Amino acid sequence: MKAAQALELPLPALGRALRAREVTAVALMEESLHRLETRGRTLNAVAALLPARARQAAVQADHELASGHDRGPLHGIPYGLKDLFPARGAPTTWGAAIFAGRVIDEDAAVVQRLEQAGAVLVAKLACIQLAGAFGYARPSASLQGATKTPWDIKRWAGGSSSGSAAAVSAKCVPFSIGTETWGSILTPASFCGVTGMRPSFGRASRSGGMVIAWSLDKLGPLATSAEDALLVLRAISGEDKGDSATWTSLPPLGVAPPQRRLRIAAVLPAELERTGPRIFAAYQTFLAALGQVAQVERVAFNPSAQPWLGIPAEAVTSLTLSSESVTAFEELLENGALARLPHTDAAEKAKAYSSIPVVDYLRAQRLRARLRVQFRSYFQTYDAICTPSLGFNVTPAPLLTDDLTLSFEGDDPLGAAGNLLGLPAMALPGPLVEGLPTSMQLLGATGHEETLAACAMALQAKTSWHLQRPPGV
Amino acid sequence: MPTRRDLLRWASVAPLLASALGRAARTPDPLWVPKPAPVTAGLAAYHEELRETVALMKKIKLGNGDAPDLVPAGEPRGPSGRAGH
Repeated sequence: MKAAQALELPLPALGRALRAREVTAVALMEESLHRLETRGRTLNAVAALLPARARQAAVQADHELASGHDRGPLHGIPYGLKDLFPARGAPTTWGAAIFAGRVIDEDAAVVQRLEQAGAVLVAKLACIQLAGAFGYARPSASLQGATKTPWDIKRWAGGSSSGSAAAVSAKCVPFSIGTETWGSILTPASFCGVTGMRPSFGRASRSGGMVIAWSLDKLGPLATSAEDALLVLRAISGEDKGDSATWTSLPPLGVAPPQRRLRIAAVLPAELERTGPRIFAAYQTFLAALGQVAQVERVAFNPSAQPWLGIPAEAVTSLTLSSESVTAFEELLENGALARLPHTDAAEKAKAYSSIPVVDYLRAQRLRARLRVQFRSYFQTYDAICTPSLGFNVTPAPLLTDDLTLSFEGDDPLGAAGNLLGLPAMALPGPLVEGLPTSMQLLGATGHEETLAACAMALQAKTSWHLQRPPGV
Repeated sequence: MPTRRDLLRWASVAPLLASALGRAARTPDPLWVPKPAPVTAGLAAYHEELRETVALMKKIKLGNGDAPDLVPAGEPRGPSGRAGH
């Protein structure tokens, strides 16, 4: 089997091919590096290639597999890492020009976990500067410039895990690692037409990575399918002494979810039909397919039907994020580095956020507690909520020249609540509209990634939207 | 005060300068790079945004018993408190 063909197989099939010696980890790694150097660079998806490290790891993987030392489903598989995490010998820039060339000579916890699983790190992938802390107005707010979606190179890949999504979509790597504080996995997964998994808060260690907001940051996989994403999540999850968020009592992964028909609340505000009729029709098609594998109930979008709407989740998330991010980046504000970031008013925003009274931060956390109670109650009725991955706007991938402050004017109450409460979510590709992918998310109860993934896998077994390929890929 | 020599020097370069400026106005400089779009809502605007955000939150009445949620996902156990996944 040729490496070019093998690299595009689902992870379980790729694992079988490696174990049957139909392809080698070295050949996969070389093919992945070649694609990143060509397609990946064209898309501005690559922050740094790591050929020496990758070759050493791939040779070791082949040797181990040949000698019967099997590290599991990711053994010998190449992957890319969002440039918020350090890896030995590689630059770690957090996507920001102010950190160009900086080397943090250590492996983040997620890199260590994936090394233990035998995965082969081939590249650091581009991201929005500081993962979008303090906002950004242009897709080009990244050290590599605007990352392009392989679906239309005049359009943006989304952010902040831009390269992580674009590299998977362009078939440069079978999976990648991204992060999400509010939208940074689900948004690029949507614009690049890949499957993205935002795990429960505390599921995977963030140790070594850049912090935006301690109580909101998560990391998770982007992959072609839900099954692949789940395999990666299982490998990177678990308790880690370097990240106290992982010291929790989350239900363990790897346990089969209940074998009953799941009950899903579909939240699709009626005004979407008017603001984006073709995308609305695509969502309806998606929900009809989902209805074949789960019990889908259309839920009215008003506070009497959904009490959590009575709490302004976006305001609470926004204030929490602002307070924590200005604390996390206090040094960059004080030494003037924030003022040198292009495409953002970071320094001015940070100065304003510095003045948030503690009573307001605590007010946000008290409302967060109320919201948690309401969602806990909601998830006693429903196993998951299905809603557009991008919130309630109908924006296709914006043009590279667009002002993003105008592109994202839609509401995102479920994205806000989901991130605020650390709820897991999966972005799943839907039908194409005018040549661009649509995406719906499944949002679940804390700790129930296996349930979401089982539902997504059943859906993807009956549909082929996740297998759609960008033109020329 | 400019000297007579200064005036003569300016007079000699003025036509060249005018010509260069005219050319620059007619043909774009290939080395010209647009500056990043200014994003200068300003400090006052961000303070106003924060006031609006807080005003939204204040619409919800909270009581003395409404404790803050400072641990987002479950009770911390400590790194050696359980067997792990």
